[in-house]
Amino acid sequence: MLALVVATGVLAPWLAPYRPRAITGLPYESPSGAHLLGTNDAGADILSRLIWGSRTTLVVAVSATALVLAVGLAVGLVAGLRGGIVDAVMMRLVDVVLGLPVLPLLIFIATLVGPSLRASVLVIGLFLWPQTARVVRSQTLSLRSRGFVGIARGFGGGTLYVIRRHLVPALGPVIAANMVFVAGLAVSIEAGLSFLGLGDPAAVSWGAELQRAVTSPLIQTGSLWLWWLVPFGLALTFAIFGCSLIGVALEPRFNPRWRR
Amino acid sequence: MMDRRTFLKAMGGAAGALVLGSACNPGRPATVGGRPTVRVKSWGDLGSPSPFIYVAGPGYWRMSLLFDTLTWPDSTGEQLPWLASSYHRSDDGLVWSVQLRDVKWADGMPLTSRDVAFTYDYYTSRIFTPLLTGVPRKGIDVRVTGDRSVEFRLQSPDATFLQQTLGTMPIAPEHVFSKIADPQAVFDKRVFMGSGAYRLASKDVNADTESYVARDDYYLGRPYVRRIEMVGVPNDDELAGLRAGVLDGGASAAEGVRNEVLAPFRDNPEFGLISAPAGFAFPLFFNMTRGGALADLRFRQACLHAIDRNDMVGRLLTGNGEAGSPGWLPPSNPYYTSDGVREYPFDRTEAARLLDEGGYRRLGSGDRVNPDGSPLHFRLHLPDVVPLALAELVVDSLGAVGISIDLQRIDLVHVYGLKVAPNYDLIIQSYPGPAGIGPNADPDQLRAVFHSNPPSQTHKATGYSNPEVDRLIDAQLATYDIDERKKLVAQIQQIVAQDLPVAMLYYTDFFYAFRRSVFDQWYYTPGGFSTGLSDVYNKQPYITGRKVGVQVRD
Repeated sequence: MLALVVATGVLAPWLAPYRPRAITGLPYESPSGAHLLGTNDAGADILSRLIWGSRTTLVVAVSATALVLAVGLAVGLVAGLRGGIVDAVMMRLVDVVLGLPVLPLLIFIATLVGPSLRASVLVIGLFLWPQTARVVRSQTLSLRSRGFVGIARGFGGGTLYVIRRHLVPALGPVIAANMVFVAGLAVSIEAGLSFLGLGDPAAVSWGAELQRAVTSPLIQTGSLWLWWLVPFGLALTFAIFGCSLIGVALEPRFNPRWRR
Repeated sequence: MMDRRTFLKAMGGAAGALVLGSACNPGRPATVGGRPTVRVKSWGDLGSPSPFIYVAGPGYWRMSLLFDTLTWPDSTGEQLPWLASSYHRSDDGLVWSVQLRDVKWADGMPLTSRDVAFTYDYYTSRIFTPLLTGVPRKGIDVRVTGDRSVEFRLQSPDATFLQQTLGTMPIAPEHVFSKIADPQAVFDKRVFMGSGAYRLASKDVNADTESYVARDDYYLGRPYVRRIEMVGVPNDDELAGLRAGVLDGGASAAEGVRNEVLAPFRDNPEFGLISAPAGFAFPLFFNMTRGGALADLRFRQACLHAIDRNDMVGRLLTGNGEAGSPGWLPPSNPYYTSDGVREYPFDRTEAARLLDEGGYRRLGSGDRVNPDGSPLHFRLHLPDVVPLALAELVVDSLGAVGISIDLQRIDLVHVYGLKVAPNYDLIIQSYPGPAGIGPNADPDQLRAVFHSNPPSQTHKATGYSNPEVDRLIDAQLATYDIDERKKLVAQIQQIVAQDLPVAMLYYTDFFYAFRRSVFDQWYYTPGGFSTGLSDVYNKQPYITGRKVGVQVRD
């Protein structure tokens, strides 16, 4: 499922019949040979926007996940390796962020920052890193006590060498499982923010298109909802469900908690 | 013991009562003595209905239920004597004499000419937010000439004075407000005590409701509409609220409406439907201070040639609007002219020719570059009240001639920030804004857009300055003769259409549907009420029960 979303996003220029903003028909056209899912309120092809929207979804998922990975990995590794006061301070910071009411804060910050895709990614990244940091830290603590890390250090291996040569490869599968979850969350949060009008409504994204469809005065008339609203809802469900399935499959294998 | 016949009668009666009961909306307020209760949409917490703390147009009209002005328009657009019994302008146009009716405030104190002079001084000696739309111009000498007579002495003739001062300035009681130093900090019942036809009966911000009850001792007679209830509706969808029976009248969205949405009201005799042309306008502003292409007349002209404004009206509004005039005013404005006003018909070839002539070369990709080789690329800001579909049509149209645009959505407050800074390339603004006037309002609205020294920068055509336009705008303001004024306003339209600092895209028609059985005297006021408010909520028909005059319906 996820592969299909990724492939659609990557191949959007070749798969989509039209550019996403191109006005290629009259507004609210029913599905036809020229527009398989009809047209939206401006007369743009809905199928093309669905396909191009997957690219936005991918960008958000990848960017937000990368941000979460960078911050979570840095905090987790430093806390795990340095220990002591650094560990204590960083973990209290993690506790604080984890204790915050995420959804109201996301909405609050998104309102303050204003609607843009970059802001959405930043806001999502800002709140999703602590879980990753915790997992990385606990794994780092566990790995640090193992012999091969001590031996590497004994032979003069620096911190960066230890991280690169021993910790990251060992952490890889755990992080991968965590990142898939984060990606799914990022996609749903972006869609949620867009749906609430706090994302970038000018972006061609599934959440923004859902919001646009729902606020159209004609969405409740005829069967417009069937070809404008439903495809975007299904696409979102498809992407988030795909991420969740992979996460569920990977976690028991790589998360040490499951082994206990 | 009940016999069979009695039993059947009783059951029949009960069934009839049930049917009748279910046919009536249980939430429908009773009509008392033929005087209806009218339910309209609530605008949330848009300030309070007091002369110095209301907010924008919707706030003004609620306030106007409690506080009267010296004159007020009816469906003809004429200013009727209201608190005034008569008014007269001197031959030189500098002195307006007003005689007052015998009126009492809601607390029983008499309303005198001293209240009028006090109100003017109170307004002009303080600084209010721009959202207080009815603040009169400064520089008028208001003289009390008797208990019920007052003179306004102007420094220069002012063609807007009648509507925008006498017909807009709510008269406030001196005996109340003279004890209030900061009227923007007081919200108790004192500041809601006016001379108007209604009193504030309830206001619940959380429930988004408020109600106004008629004053039976009102000086023009007992108001026809007994009670006005304002009710919040989900998503501000008034027409849905009307269909659901929550409201008795509902307006179409300001950004325009398609026929499909109006069909249920057109086809149903239960409802009436009125409309007015050009209730709202959508101009595209170029930030000429940025220089380069934006300051290049050929570029701006090419943009307008590239946009099919008639197609926009058909496509987005199913014809419920008008294509924008390059001279700003819509055809429905009495001061509109097309004579000598340059048109920019949809013509991509002409747009391409102008761009080529300006040195904006087209690359193989289809995009153009500036004469210095940099991309011909701009950011288009649009506030959240502007339909995204409109912006996308603009982007598509300009893209077709090689002008690259990216869209940036922002909220309305930020738009004004960008305009004032000025820090933008292109903005599609929605009009009216805080000035609270519509495209059909007095032609002095051109001052806000095209004068080099406008009252505020929020509607200014950024970077535009033409001394001849300044002179003409000042001259039309000082001209009472309508024909003469029309000539001056026509010249302004001709020049700004040639200079094209703003490209008017289209105007949307307003529609108002209402339940005939409750109240059917709705109308759109020609030229608007107050400073030119284009909404349907003129209080005159509620009070009189008629569309014309001040005589109250029995």
